[in-house]
Amino acid sequence: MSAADYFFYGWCLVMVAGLWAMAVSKKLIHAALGLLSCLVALAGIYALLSAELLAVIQLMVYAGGVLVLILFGIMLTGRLSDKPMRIESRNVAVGSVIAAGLFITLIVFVGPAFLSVTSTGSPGSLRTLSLALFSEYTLAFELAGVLLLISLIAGAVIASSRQS
Amino acid sequence: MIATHHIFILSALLLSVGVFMLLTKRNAILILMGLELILNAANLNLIAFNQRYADALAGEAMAVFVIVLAVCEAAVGVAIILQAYRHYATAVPDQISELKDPA
Amino acid sequence: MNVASTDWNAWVPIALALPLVSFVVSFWMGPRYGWLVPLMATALLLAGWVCTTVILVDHSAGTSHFAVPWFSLGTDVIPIGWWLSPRSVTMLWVVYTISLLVHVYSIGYMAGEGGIARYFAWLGFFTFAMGGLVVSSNLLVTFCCWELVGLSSYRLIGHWHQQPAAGAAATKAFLVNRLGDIGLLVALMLLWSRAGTLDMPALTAMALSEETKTAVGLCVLLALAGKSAQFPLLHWLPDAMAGPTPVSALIHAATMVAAGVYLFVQLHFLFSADALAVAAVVGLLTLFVGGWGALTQFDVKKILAYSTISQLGLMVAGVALASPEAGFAHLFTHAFFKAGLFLGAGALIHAVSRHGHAPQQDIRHMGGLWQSHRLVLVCFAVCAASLAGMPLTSGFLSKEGLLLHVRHHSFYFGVMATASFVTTLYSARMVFYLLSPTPQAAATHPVPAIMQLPLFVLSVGSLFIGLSASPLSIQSWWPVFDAIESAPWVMVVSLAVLVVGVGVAWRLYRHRPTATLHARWVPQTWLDAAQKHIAVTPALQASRLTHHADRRWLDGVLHAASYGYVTCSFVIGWVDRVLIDGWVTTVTHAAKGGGKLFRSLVNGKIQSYLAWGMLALLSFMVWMLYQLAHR
Repeated sequence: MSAADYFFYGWCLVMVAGLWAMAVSKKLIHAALGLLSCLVALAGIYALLSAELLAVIQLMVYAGGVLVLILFGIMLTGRLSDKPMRIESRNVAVGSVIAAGLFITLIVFVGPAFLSVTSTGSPGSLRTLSLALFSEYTLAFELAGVLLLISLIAGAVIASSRQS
Repeated sequence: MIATHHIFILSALLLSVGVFMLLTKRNAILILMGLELILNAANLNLIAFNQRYADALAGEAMAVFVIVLAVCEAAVGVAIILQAYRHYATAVPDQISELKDPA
Repeated sequence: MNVASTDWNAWVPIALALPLVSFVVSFWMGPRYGWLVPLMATALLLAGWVCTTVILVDHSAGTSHFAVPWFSLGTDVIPIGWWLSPRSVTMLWVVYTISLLVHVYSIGYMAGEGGIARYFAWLGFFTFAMGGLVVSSNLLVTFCCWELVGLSSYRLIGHWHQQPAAGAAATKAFLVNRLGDIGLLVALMLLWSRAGTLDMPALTAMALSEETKTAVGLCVLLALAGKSAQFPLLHWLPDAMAGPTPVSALIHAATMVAAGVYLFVQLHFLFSADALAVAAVVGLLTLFVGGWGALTQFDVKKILAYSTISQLGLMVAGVALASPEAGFAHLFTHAFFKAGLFLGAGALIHAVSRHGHAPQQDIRHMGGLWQSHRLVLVCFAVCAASLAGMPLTSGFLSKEGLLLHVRHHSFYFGVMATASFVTTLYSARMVFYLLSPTPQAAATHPVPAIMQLPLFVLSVGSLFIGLSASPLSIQSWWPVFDAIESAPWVMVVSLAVLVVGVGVAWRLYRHRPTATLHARWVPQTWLDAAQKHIAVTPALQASRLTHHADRRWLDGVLHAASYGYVTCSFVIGWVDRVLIDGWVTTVTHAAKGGGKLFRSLVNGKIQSYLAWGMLALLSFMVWMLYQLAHR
């Protein structure tokens, strides 16, 4: 086991803890914190997989943008009710069965295909990936940017309190 | 190096928990979180499997686009939740039953 | 079978078609040009009479036969056509002559009456049907015409359908005639099965067994008994006098009732000796019943009807005992003098009846017309003399012919002489009543010339020149009647009978006794009673019996059947309700339940849709991956 493996399993533990918090916590803010820990752990794993750009994007966009968005959502929707932001679940049994079935199916049927596979190392440095994004995937990149712009405008319009 | 199938197990776990939250949580924000988890599971797989091909960047480029899509989805989703909350005074989708057939 | 015979004679179809045209056109013209119908019908019949005269002149010696296939049954071909012999053309001419005279007479007699178009139409139709009956070569066609004359007789008897008596008489005549028609139908069936043909020329050449001939003869005898009012079936004819008098003259005296005798004459070769003996007995019985009936009546038309019955009996007996030609000769002379008698009686009734009242037909109230209606009375008396068999008349000659034929059988000769006596008696009685100078109370009407003309023609025809050139024996210019050696003693006997008959009548009826006989002495009474006892009562009893059986047994069976049916219905209803409906209900409940189940899935909760979607995706994944893993 190399140092990278230790880091990997460490991040795994962080992620499982975050997932657990999201799945079973009674408070919305705990779930948000669990999500944050998951996203940070994912960024670490991306770094371990030598996808540095993605790790940075993960941290900046997810942990810094999406999570803040969600926190704002939590705050804005919780303001009318007097009770604390407690959340309840339902159909836990059905959800558990489906989720567990999905997990087991994937592990049993798909997992063995990767048993003998090991990673060959770092294909994408920051430079090569950037070059690819701006040469090979230029169109898709530009379209993604347009989509992002549209969605941001849409979000602003939808969320605006002014009625049409 | 990190065993690919361990990463796969991890992404499967992410997917399962995301689906679980999607199916069981009553609050729309938490459902949105479940969706983020599912997208992250896909991203993790894309990046991990890209490691097998030294000179290919398709997986990582795809991951970038997936993150962009996730941001869009989160932005629009939170906007819709806010608007629905403003309109119905609830963030619980079950209580928004205007389109439901009256039983 | 060779059915085609090509002796075409255009006069025959023209002669037959003209009265039929009269029938159709009369009905067509009736509503708008009623006044024109009598003239038009008479003119058409005059044209037809000319045709028959031409035919008569052409065929006075030989025979001709024309036939074309009418229809075929399998391989059997039924021909239609005519068979012209001296006898049939003579009969045809007689029919058309009498019909023409009756038409002329009817112009005057029916003037002012209702339903003239109908009357002349059916007269024309009768003439057509009777002509077809006479000339037809095929017995099936003869049978059809036989029925058609019966139909027109029915229509004409009931012409004054406002009178209940006329309707009843028409129905009676029709029904009694149908009884006789059964005989003809059976005879035709017998002939068809035994001889294989109904063609008369073919039948004449065929040798049939005695049994067949007896059976066929008896059946034909039944038929002619119905049509010609022979003994058991004679009581319809007096009732038929309810029709207009010219109709009585044409149909119920001269032609239609003679059709039975004519058929007898035509089919004489089909009668065995036994059948002829039966026919002779029937004829003689009829002769006396008719004569007796004529003596008991005071209604002039009824007297004439019974006289007709009697004379028809004489003809049948004559054909059976003497020869067909002798019988046919009497038929021929009878047609003239009896038509003359009826037309004369009609003229007298016309003279004494008042408009708006029932016609006066009682001879006790018809005297005293000698001053005003001399010609009519003379003509009437001449015809009556012919009926009685006075010398110098045609009746004397034809009766003489009959007596000559049977002069070697003393019994038959005696019976016929007695019958002649009775005939003389009632003829003289009738004439004495009518000629008596008793003043006529009611005012009398003049008889128009158009009615006197046919009467005059017929009375001339009733004289000996109508039949023969000689007043003493048949030296006929009609080739059909064979000349007979005259026997002086026969003539002496018949003259003696005549003198005695007139003398007795003079003694009995000179003072015009008005006493009516008790009803039991009138043949009509006991004939109707016999009909009631033999036919009507058993029929009523049979129907009562069948009614009883119907109610007792058939209704019982029906009730049982209906109870069973109702029970079955209940069972079926139960099965229907419980099993079939139950099944249907089950299906609907299942559908409803399934609908509820699936409806519960669509509960409007996004997450439950999502759960089902995930479940489906998971199942698909498991199935597909399992397939992949075990390939």
